Amino acid sequence: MPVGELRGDIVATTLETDTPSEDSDETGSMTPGKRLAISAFVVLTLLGMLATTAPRSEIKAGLFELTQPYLLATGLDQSWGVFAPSPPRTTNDVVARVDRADGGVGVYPLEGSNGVAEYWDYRWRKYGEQLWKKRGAERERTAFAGYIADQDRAAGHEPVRVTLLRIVHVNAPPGGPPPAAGSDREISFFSTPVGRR
Amino acid sequence: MTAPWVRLRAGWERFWFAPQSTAPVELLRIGFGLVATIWMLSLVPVLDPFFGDRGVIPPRVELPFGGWTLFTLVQGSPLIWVLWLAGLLGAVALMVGFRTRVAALVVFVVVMSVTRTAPLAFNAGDGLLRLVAFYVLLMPAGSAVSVDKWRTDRAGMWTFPRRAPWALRLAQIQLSVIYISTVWEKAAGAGWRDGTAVSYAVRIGEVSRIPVPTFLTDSPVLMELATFGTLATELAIGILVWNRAARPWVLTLGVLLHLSIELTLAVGFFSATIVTLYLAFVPPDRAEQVLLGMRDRLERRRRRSPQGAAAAPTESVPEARAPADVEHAPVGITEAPRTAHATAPQ
Repeated sequence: MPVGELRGDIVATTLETDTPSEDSDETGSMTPGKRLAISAFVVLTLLGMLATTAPRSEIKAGLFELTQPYLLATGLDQSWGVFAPSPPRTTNDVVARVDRADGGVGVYPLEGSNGVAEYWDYRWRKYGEQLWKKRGAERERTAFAGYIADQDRAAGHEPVRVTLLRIVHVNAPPGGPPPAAGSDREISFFSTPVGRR
Repeated sequence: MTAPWVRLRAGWERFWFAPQSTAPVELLRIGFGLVATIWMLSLVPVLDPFFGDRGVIPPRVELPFGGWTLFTLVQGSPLIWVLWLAGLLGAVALMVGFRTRVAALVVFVVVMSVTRTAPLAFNAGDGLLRLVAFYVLLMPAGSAVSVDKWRTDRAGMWTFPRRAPWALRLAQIQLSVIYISTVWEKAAGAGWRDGTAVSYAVRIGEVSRIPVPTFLTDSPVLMELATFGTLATELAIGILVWNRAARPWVLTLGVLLHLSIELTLAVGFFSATIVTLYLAFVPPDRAEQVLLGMRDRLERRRRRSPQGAAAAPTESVPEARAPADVEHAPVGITEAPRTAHATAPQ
């Protein structure tokens, strides 16, 4: 059926959210070619959405391979696994420890501020979390250690090594006994000598 | 051609292309422009520590095919501030509808560049902002209630042309996909199945904003209610938002859910952005009422001011909606002028 023949149906049958259509200005002037091109774009976008959010499967893998360049170019790659599959049962505070040439030690906790400042500091918290969580983030850890060394130098010290640690605090299950005092653990996950950058 | 195929094709045409008022697009454009402006301002304290000469974010040496960021050109130099300023001006211009299409493009490019360059420092809320920026870029935004319209047709500033809503539909489907996808991901988690997930989520020290009282987090019954209630709400939004009768209810539940998240967890711009995306589901007639109500309020305020009283009636207000009419019309239910015909191309 030619597209033009459908136009009467389109105008006469409105969606539940539509106000009655009195003119079809743009659609009336939209060529079948333009409409076809938009339809192809819409299908590609829907397939991309499916590829990036669908459960793991062969279909998802195939679709993702097909649509990945489009998803990356348009920024439509996405993941909505916030607090999934389950929220962490621990609190992890990231701390940078600086060993100095004079034998002293400096400690730089990676913590956000409170109040309005949370709306920009959450990125530091996120970065800190990814530093220990993300495998293969060696470049980021090295860059962060260098940044901390710069801060320490700016404070008048001579840093020789930066070690990144996470302090793990276990959160008890609801209704369960609180964790024993002193149960926090300190885990070192990266250490590097630091020279001048 | 067989009847089912014809019906399917007609349904496709109707859903994506049947013209409707652009009022929801303008509502979304204004709301998103405001969120994007605040987001750009929130970059100020981190721009230099992250992307400056000695920043913590290493430059992206290579991106997978299709990926791109303008920070490869400016990272480590003062030009990051030029890019940021372009993003800020673009966001403000998008909000007021000045050179709207260009503004939307600039906002999209800057948000994309920032989030692509530092994926480890930006969260799902920032990613959502990027998605909405892309959809707004595709929409016929700025066709009403905008500086663009004011410059070309002052009398038609508050009239809403009818356009094919395909980009708005994509944004609506995106919202649905977000909620269905998150429920699917959570359904596999032990914490969401045994009813303890919310108790743990609100006690994660790194993101905790206001400590939730322990009598709540320690109560298995209340935490089960909160956990299963969260899943039920998210699933309901994902599916029932397409039902006209249920839509206001599920979106109200969604606003309450995100308000509670906003109060307890410091997760940046996620709540603000997703609630802004809800505006894509405001029915066109309701969106027109909201925007015309806004116009009436602005008009009344202007008339109350000494300068406004001296200047009234103004040339920018169409005769049919002159101040005399406005005074007697209850706010928010002013009818949209149905005689308006769009002439501007998309």
